[in-house]
Amino acid sequence: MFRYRMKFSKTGTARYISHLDLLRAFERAMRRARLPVALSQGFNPHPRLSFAAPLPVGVEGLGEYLEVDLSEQLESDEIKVRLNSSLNPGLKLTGVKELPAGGPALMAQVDRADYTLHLELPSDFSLGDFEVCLEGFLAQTEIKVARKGKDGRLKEIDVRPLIFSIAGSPSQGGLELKLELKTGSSGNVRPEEVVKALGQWCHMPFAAEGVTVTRTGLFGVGRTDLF
Amino acid sequence: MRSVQKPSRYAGGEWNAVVKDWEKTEVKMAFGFPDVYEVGMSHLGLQILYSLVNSREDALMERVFAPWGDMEEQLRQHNLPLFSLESRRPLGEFDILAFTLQYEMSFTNILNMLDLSGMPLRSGHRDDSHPLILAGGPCAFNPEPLADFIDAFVLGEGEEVLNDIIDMFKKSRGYSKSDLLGRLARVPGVYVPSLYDVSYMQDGSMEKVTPLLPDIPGVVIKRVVKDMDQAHFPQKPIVPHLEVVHDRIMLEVLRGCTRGCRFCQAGAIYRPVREKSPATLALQASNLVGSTGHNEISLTSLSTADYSGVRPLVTELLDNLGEMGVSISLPSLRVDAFSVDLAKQVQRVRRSSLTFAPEAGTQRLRDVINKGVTAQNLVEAVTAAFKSGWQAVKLYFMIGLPTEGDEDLDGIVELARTVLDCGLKSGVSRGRLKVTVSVSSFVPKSHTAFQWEPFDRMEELRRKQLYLKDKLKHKNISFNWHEPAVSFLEAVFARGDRRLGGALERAFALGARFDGWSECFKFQIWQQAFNEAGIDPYWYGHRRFNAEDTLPWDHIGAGVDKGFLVREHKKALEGQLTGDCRSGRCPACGLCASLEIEPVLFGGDSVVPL
Repeated sequence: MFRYRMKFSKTGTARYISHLDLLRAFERAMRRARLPVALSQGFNPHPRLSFAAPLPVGVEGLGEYLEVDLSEQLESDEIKVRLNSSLNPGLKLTGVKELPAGGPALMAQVDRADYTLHLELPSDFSLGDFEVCLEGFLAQTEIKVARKGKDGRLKEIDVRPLIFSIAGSPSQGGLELKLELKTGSSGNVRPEEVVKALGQWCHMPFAAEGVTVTRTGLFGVGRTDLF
Repeated sequence: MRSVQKPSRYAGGEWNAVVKDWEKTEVKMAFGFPDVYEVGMSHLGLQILYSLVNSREDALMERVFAPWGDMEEQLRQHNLPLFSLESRRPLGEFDILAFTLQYEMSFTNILNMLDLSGMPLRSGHRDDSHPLILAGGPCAFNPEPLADFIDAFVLGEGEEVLNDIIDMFKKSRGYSKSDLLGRLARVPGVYVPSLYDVSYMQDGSMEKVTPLLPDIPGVVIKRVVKDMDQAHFPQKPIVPHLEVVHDRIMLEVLRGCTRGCRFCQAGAIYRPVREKSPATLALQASNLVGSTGHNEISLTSLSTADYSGVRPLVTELLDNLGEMGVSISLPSLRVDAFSVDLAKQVQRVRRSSLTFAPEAGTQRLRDVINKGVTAQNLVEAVTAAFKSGWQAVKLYFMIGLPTEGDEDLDGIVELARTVLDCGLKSGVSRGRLKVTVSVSSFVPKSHTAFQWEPFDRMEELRRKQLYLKDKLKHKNISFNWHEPAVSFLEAVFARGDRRLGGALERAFALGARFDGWSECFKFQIWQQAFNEAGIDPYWYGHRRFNAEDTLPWDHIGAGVDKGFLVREHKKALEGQLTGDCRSGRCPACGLCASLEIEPVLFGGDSVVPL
């Protein structure tokens, strides 16, 4: 078995494909491209294909990752060309790399993600006001966010340690926010959770709807490249 | 889009979706499936017609589905028109909008889709600036309840007649819509309701339907594809994003079924039986796997085990596709061990349960409906299933059938218990063994031997359901039933005439949508609608027609002789069987003569005679 890690982007109408459907879309694309994906053992064999971290529905992803095991060894470039010609519109491979077998699982390596989003600022709120507000927000020792637990009850989670950085800059009459957030199995915070908490702190409820979010990159511990 | 459930329903951009150059393509069609994306994308007809129209240089086809409640709210709130998936254009910009009528409870969705496109609902209120509104599919065989809203109905198989319609449309550019409709009414298989007058008798029943132009037919006869091998079949079906009801390749192996079950409308409207050759099927199967990437192929038809060469076909497909990791599934099984054997050969992973449809509980009633299945057949079939590893079996029955009595209900209970016994005797563990009895309410349909029969009273059906529920109480038996009020409305519309249009419109205005979904269905809306429209639905649902009566669909021809149906009805009441014409004897249904067609069978395994 030969392991390949692939970097891809998910844009346009493809951003509405849910995570499970994305898995199926890739499985089918691989079959169309006649790539020999290895199957798992057991009663219900499925293709050995996994993603780094699920992308929420509606969010575009520019630097996403997946890993697949093939039963034959092929040139990375060939895989990239063949798969790109069979992928749904909106999905595109930007890189393919063969990995030595037995390395750490992709999902376990993911540590943080970069998000970019655009917010409308109300007329009485300047960039200077925002900077002051942001500084205060990040100076807190804890930032509590309510999440629904598996049992349906609301739990309070402190997300301050999960926020690595937030930066804002003026853009198109509003604000462009760049967030660097912890992502993955050892801790996860979503961009809309942070934006909501920030809005509450600044007494400026940023509209949850109509905010375009893009995940511009995924990284390992210490911002290492996953590729 | 971000604020609705399952936004990919409206996104488009799927693999094999076709987006053509709008400006450069002459005729623009939209296919409207009046239910949600997940249901509509499982419809093979959509894939066939989509591929057919898009393969023409001068035409394009895009898709639109019924928006779910949350999307409808968004559209209305923001004053946005309903849009197609491919180019996201408002439906009003298309030349032709074609709906498929798969089931009566989708009619309010059709009105909703017209309304959301900013079009007047009634054809009489639309003008030349609005698209031509077409409708086809099984319910077109009694089109009258929709007569006020649809410009032209298409009867029979779309592969040929749709091309004729597009050609006629092109030729008629510059003519008024009423001229276009006059010309379309002369295309075989097209019924233009506004060009036919309906008169009623004193007692409210239909008197006659008269064509208003001299050279349009008194009876509009369905179109049929003669050669299935030559017929258009999509080589690159759209692969949906979302998990749809049928997430696999659908390969149609044959069309039509002549077993002659007397309740079955599909048997009447899709006959004669026409098989595709094994060579064509093998080629299509391999192309479809390559163009879609699906890992399962379903051999669809009304009764695939009846394909005359089914054994060699399955063996060949398994040989070719097996190495690519593609599995095969057979959606409909006959009630006999042959079918189970086939299912075993084909399914690598034992799906949770096998389904059989005995339909009636006693031999007497099964003979009445001409479903010549015996208890012995069922025992052999389920025993074969259990011994092959299945642990659960589903049994489909109908209640409310003509001549039914409580003894027939007892028959259902007895069959269920017998099947349970077979399971235990075959060694299925008590913990896992499951028999599901699913009972639906018989709706008499047009063009069948039972078209004269009434729908059973709702209180009776409820009583029967409770009766069965009580007697079927058992740890290993699970009982499913359907809301009789929904079936009642189906019956009203399946047997209705034009006067129902007012009630349909009122129900839509009062908020009826997705009536086929139990979570959305509200009988009170319909009761109020009928009341306000001055219509008594019970008269429609429970009326018994006489053989001499003019039926509301007599002007629509399925090709089957009415005299044949009268004979079949009589035989039903006497409990006599009629054989399948495939096994030799022709019962003279009149179809082959009137349509100048014959059954196409490829032979090999012979059809098991009844």
